[in-house]
Amino acid sequence: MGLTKRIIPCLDVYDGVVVKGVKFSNLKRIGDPAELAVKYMEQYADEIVFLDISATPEERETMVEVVKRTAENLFIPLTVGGGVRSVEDFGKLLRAGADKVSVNTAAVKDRSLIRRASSIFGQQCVVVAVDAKRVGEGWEVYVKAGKEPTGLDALEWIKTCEYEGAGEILLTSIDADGTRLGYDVELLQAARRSVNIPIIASGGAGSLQHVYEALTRGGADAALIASLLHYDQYSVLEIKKWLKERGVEVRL
Amino acid sequence: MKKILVLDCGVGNLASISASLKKAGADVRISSIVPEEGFDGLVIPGVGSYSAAFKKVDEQRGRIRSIVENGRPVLGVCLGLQLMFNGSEEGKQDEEGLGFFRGFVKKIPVKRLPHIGWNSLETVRKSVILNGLENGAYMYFVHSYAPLDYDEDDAVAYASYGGIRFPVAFEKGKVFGVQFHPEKSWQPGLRILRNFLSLCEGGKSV
Repeated sequence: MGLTKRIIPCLDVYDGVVVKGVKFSNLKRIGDPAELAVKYMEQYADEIVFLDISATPEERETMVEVVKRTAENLFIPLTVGGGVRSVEDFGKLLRAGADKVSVNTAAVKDRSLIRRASSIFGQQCVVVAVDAKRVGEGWEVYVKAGKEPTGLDALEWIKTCEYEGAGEILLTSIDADGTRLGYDVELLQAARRSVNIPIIASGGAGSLQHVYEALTRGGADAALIASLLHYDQYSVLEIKKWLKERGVEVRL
Repeated sequence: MKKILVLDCGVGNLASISASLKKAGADVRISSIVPEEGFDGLVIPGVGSYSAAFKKVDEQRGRIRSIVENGRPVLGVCLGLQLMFNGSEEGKQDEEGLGFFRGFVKKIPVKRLPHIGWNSLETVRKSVILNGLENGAYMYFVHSYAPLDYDEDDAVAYASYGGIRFPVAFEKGKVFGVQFHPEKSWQPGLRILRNFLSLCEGGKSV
């Protein structure tokens, strides 16, 4: 009994609709974000993440409306990310009903955004999303949806995020993402040794065993799940029951 | 329908607490000023920064106190609960809390903070606020501070995290406080809000 490991469904939202696609191409509409979020809540999802993959400011306005609609019926935490650039963007999404906002590229460009958002809205609602790619012995931070290298060491960067006031780190392995061959457990372990704030593992889940390894050997506090759910391979409930049978404390 | 006033402490997300109170059956009004009449219960929510929340609660101190003295139910959530003690390490020394519960809020002495996620509750006595919940129910937490100095008579449930056991639900007359977020804790959380609403007398005021 104590703190549980979290399973967090991630929904990619494009112009107000949940989509799935391979590496941002061949997008296929799979449903309404508000309805899917509630469906996952009822399957015992611990939180929900909406990732806005829209390209234009007009489409981002749609996201604010989606968050408003979702918040009326969602009674677990909701994190919204994608294209967040300023403290104003944080405020807009939080007022619409998001509980946390995740920021990626904009934080790398100007790390003071983390501190400013954290001091105004509280540390609990600032999630820094970090996309890391294996380079030699370490990992490098990439931005712009994993396309642009930054020269920053990923472990140094997450320490900086913690220092600046991030509440959690959403850590995606670019190498593993989309492969369905498992999370980068070594990256998770190295990140775990680097910071004390919670780490959400992302990228690579193709089986229940992968989720188990991220949460146990990898030491992650939570696992972000996308394709495992989208292909209706498993329900959140099935994933959590499987983990519980193997001794992982989850909420059921 | 029970009229619930949610105190607006400034910058936080009040959409979550209002949506869940509505779901629990309340007529919700958000205000940064506590009026004398027109509501059946008060919720002091728990989002935003400590000093911002303290400032707002301090401004409304007299009104909040008279609500408690008149026996109208008050529920503090997270930071809202912490403001119900005598003070907090997170605030300045002269930022004196409401003092509805005797004690002091301190940083939890564990390495891994904030304490974020779903943690089970250990209920230690029968209470109105946790009525109907099973022992071990999971609630969603986000905090680094907790009332580690407190009166055992006021505590109704505990949580254990990182080897530390600390009180997370308080009840004294019609004053209630929870360290977790019932508004983010799905069914068990909604149950707590319904328990709170059931104590609020509706229909008396306009």
